[in-house]
Amino acid sequence: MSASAKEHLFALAGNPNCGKTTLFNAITGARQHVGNYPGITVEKKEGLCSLDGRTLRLVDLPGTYSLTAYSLEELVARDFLVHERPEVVINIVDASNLERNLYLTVQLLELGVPVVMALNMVDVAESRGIRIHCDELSRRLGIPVVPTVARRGEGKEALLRAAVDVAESGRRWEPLRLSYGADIDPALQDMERLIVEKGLLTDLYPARWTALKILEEDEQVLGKAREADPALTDELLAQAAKVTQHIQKTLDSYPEAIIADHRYGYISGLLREGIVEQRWRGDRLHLSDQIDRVLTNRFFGPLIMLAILYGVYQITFTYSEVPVGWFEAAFAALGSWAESVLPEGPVRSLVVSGIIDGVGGVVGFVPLIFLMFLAIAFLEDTGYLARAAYMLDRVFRVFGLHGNSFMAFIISGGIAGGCAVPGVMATRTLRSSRERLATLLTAPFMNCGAKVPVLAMLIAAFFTENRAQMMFLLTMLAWVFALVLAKIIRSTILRGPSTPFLLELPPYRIPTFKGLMIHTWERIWQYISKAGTIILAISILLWALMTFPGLPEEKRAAFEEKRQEILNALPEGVRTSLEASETPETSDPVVVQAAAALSDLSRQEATEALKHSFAGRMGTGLEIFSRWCGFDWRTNVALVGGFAAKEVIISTLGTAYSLGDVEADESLSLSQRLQKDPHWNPLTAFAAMVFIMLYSPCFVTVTCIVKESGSWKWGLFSMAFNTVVAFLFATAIYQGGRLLGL
Amino acid sequence: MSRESGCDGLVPLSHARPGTRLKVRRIEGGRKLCARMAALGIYPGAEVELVCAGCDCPCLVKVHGSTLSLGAGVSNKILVSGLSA
Repeated sequence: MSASAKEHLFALAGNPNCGKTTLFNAITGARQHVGNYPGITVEKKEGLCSLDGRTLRLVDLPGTYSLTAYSLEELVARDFLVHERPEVVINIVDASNLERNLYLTVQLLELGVPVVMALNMVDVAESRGIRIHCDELSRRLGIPVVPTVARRGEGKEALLRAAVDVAESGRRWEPLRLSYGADIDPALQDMERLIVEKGLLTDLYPARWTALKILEEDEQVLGKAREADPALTDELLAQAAKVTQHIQKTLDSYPEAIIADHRYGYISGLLREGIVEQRWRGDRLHLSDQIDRVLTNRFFGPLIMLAILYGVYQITFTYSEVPVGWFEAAFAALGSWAESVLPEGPVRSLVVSGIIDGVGGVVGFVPLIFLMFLAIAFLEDTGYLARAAYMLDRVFRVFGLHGNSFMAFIISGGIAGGCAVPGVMATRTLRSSRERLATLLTAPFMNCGAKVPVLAMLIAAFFTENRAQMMFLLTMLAWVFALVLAKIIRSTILRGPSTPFLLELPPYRIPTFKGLMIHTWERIWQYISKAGTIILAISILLWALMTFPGLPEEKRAAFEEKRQEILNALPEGVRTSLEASETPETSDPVVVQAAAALSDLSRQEATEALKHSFAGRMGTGLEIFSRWCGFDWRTNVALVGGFAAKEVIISTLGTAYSLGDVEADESLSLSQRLQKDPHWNPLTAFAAMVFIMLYSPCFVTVTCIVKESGSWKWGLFSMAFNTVVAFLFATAIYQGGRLLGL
Repeated sequence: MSRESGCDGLVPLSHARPGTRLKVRRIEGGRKLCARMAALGIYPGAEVELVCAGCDCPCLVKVHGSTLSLGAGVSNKILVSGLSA
């Protein structure tokens, strides 16, 4: 090993909530990169920093309590240590919870990696009257121990210096050898001897560690061992089984319990005499416990939680309105600029309707996502999110979900008007993949802010008397559908036991501004960069579907002819100004009438063109199915367009009913138009509302589902499943209603 | 109204009396759960303080410096006894 190597690789390991990420942020600042470990949803955070001319590459491993193979996080952490061989593992230890945190430390030492300990939150420990003698702890453990306060960045330089020293001393992996008592030690030694003899996995793990993992029947290690030497693995397993049986018979226990007991024994031996000094009793209730008495109170807890969630919701959707407006205005300006610069034709249409509108739709979400993630990061970093999950778990468990599913539902529109995009992304707080998938598949059933204007338009047209009640009913229906379908999904395709609820409630903490900003920024960047590319492609595709093929030449000529007829009937002077713009500033009744006739003609042409396009043909083709739920081609086209974004349903219906551009906020004319249409009645409208509520999520959401679930399969599934469910219920409502003579 | 029962003085954590300090005696429910609980600081011989139980919510337990909430599926399998027992 040359000491002149100027780059070092360090890994940060520690329990969840020990301040690991805070320390990582304090060290690397903005110089970090977040990605996923290949194929899974565990985040991989890497950062750079420099010290005395050296470049240090730090990897923030997922927070774990141990190095078993029971969770994705543990596997990721362990594999990184074994395969990437960081020169030093910086083990962050919560000084106010020393014993349990050292359990991971012991396992790191048993694996043999060079460890430097960051004794974090020494200030919190001090405030509880605990003083820890670092030098003595360091001497007993044989590793450097550096006190830190990650929140304020205290001790980070000393820590990095210590780590660099260890890295440059060329220290090799030296596993710590613990004794596990008379029942396990002899067998472990036999197994170890066999492993060393045959060289089983010795390039990866220390022999004793492999023996220990085989004794624990660790699936990953067993798999690797079988691949390397099946015969030896069977022999080792037989020995392990003998020990396990013996322990079960004589001690009525498992090897795991004995191993844990000895590890904790070793830890309490370490801490005995003179390491931890309790200067006064910390028996008094900690502030955190006092806050918990109120916030998780049986009666006030749920009320306060509702208020907090309502606040998050308000902040996210109220304060994002203004910046969302700016983004919209900016993109509208960009659109009209492009319109004025580019010559009329398919290129202009592509740039304006395809690219600018499509990208604008995505970027328009950014302020909303920013505030939502900021609010969630705040709740998460303070420790409140864990309490909310704790209080809600019993409700959600009934439906095969988890306490943490609640946030995703609320954000997606659990109180009408959210957005499924951040909702789907919020499922990251869920650990178990089954419950997470079930949540992200059902959260889009909620009535997001884009569905609300569509629903409002239909309600205004057909349920004038009971608008508020109808909206409330639809909100309730969304919850019923989401929860019941989650239950169905969890008892069929995602069948499996619920993960036992097991959550640490971290003490309440005031989040650091830096941490909040980094958390929020990295998620937004992921959204923009990854979702942006796919979204752009799909919005161009949808634009093409609704534009091509254009009207055949003779039809276009016929429209042009009629247009000329109207123009020719006008006096010369007005004609040129009318040709320039369809809304002349004059009160001459002849001109106004002609202008109206002209724009009417354009709308008819747009309707014809839409019906002629691929999307229009799809709409017509889909009538075979959609007549079961009472939709004609116009509704179908609108629903196809709604896949781009649910707001598009209104504007497409507008085009299909020759109303010209219909903005979401001035949808009244469309309501009146639908009211008069013989095809529509309250029953059709209700079936349509249920369909719109349930059918395929918009493609931005689908993109996020793909990204969050890590596979296209679930994105496609949600499109197909939701549409089938929507179709079945809309049909049941429509046909049922007709039977009842509605 | 104590629900403590059983001739050996062992009760599931979910049925122990809230507000008391208890000693973990046994973890049932398999090796996997046993190892996971140990990593969280709950292992035979560990002292825990039951903050809240029997209120439909997951149990709240303080062990060492941390607060854990354990769903019924877990807390039923942790057998505890009083400190003196």
